[in-house]
Amino acid sequence: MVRLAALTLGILAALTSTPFAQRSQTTAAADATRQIVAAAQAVVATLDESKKARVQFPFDSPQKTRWSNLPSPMYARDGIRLADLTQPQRDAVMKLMSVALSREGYQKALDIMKGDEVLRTQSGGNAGRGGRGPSFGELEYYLAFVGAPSTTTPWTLMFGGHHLGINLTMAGPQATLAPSLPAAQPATFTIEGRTVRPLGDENDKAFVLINALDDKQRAQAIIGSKVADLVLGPTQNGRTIAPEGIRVSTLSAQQQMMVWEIVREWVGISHDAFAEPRMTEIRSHLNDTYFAWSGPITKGSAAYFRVQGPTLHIEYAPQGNVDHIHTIYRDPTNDYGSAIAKK
Amino acid sequence: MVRRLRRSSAAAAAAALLCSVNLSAHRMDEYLQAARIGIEPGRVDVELYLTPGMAVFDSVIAAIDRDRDGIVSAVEKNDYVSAVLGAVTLRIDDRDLPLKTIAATFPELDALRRGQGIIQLRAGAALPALNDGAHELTFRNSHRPDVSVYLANALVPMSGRIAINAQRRDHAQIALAIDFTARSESKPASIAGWFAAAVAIVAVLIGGGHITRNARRFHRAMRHRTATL
Repeated sequence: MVRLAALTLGILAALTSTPFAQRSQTTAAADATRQIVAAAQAVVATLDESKKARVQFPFDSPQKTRWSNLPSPMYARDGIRLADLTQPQRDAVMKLMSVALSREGYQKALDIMKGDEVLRTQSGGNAGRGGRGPSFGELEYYLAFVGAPSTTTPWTLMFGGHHLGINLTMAGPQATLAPSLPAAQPATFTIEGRTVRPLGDENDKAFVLINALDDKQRAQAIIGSKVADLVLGPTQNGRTIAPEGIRVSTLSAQQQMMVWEIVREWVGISHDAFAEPRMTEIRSHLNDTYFAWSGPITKGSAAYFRVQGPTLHIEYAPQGNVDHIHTIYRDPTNDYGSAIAKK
Repeated sequence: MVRRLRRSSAAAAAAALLCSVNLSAHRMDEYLQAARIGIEPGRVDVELYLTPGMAVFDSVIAAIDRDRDGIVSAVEKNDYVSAVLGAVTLRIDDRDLPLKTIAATFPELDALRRGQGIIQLRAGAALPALNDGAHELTFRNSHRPDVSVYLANALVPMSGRIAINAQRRDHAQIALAIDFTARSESKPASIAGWFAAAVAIVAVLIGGGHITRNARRFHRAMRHRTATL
């Protein structure tokens, strides 16, 4: 009887042990990679030779870092533009994005693109690249593959427009979304009676956390200066700024959970199979992770915040008001897959 | 004349762009000056990224292209870099650190005009030998406060001998004080130190062997238990 109980416990322990969980995660990640590569190849299959040439770049080309939050033609993106594609080609691109991102991540991307379209409409439209006006909107988005989509060799899926820059680098069953830039303008809009706030959860969760801190904690978290913009925006690759704010390990368990829920808003944009191991890895750096805040703490105000750890850099930066937000997600050890592509 | 026409038409295009993009305000009316300061043993690196918004382009370019010929000459670039760095002060524990230009990159004027271009300056200062312990480096950028917004941040040092402890700024981030700790290189060990280290290594090897033997015994016992189950 004792032996049977011991055997049962042993089996349970083996099942829940880290190597087993890791094997399971690796299998899920490998499956996700296969699905994303298949969806990427399906996009390529819809393209003629000229568009195939435009979408594909060598992995080590400068294209990898050529992305921005600026509208066209202030910033000229390369790749294939949604506006230049047929409906079946556009459908294939959006299918790829829906496979590459989590359900929530894909919805966030759609909402941001829709926000660009609302902004375009509010601005009175635009004349496109041939005209004088800046060009943005839900069809002013570009797709590029840096490296050929593959289940074994590294490649990056770049998808970006005015307020969204997705850079998903994959190397076999490993993937990173760093660096990526989800932004929003307007930050709140209505479509068919539905209020849309593409980055609303990020904002709301951060205000809940800053207001959950006691006075002493808040004094440590708040940077006493105005942060006018992203510190490590699109062009600021390869830099690590000294962390500031309150050390997450000094927070209560409940407050720490709030921090991880904020972080998940960015990490969770990627496919679940990649997001979960990434969250585990970020949480393992609890002692060296910081939360910093600049601005008023009354909900509805424009306030900047940052979550920073050894492998994490998140910034949320209102552009002077609550209706125009820029954010950045980076991994100083693995931006553009610098670590996973080497393996 | 042609240049003047080209310039005025480009300015008109920029103005049109600015008017139509007013809802997409990407730092149009401000001059963003982002500073990153790296402290390493023996030196301080200052990196300044200057991004004029489209609405302040004319004001900024007037100070760069002084002869208004639409071309930024090498002399004009050097003069502008000197003007910027002349407005920057760097001090270590109340001692001035003279900054020297290391590199400067100017984008095409059209890129600047579109609000996309970034003037990138790199400067450095020699850091005198510091005692072990706490120090303060202060940085102040007073260039064009009339149109600018500022960011100032310390970089994580590459050397383990420098540790950033805190950063203090004024509200506008014109001034940054970095509290850091400096640690000298570890001194060469004495003969007594080498002897102590050798003893410790031998102890670890003996202990390690003991642990390895115990681990083998543990694994043998586990195999035996599994077999009997």
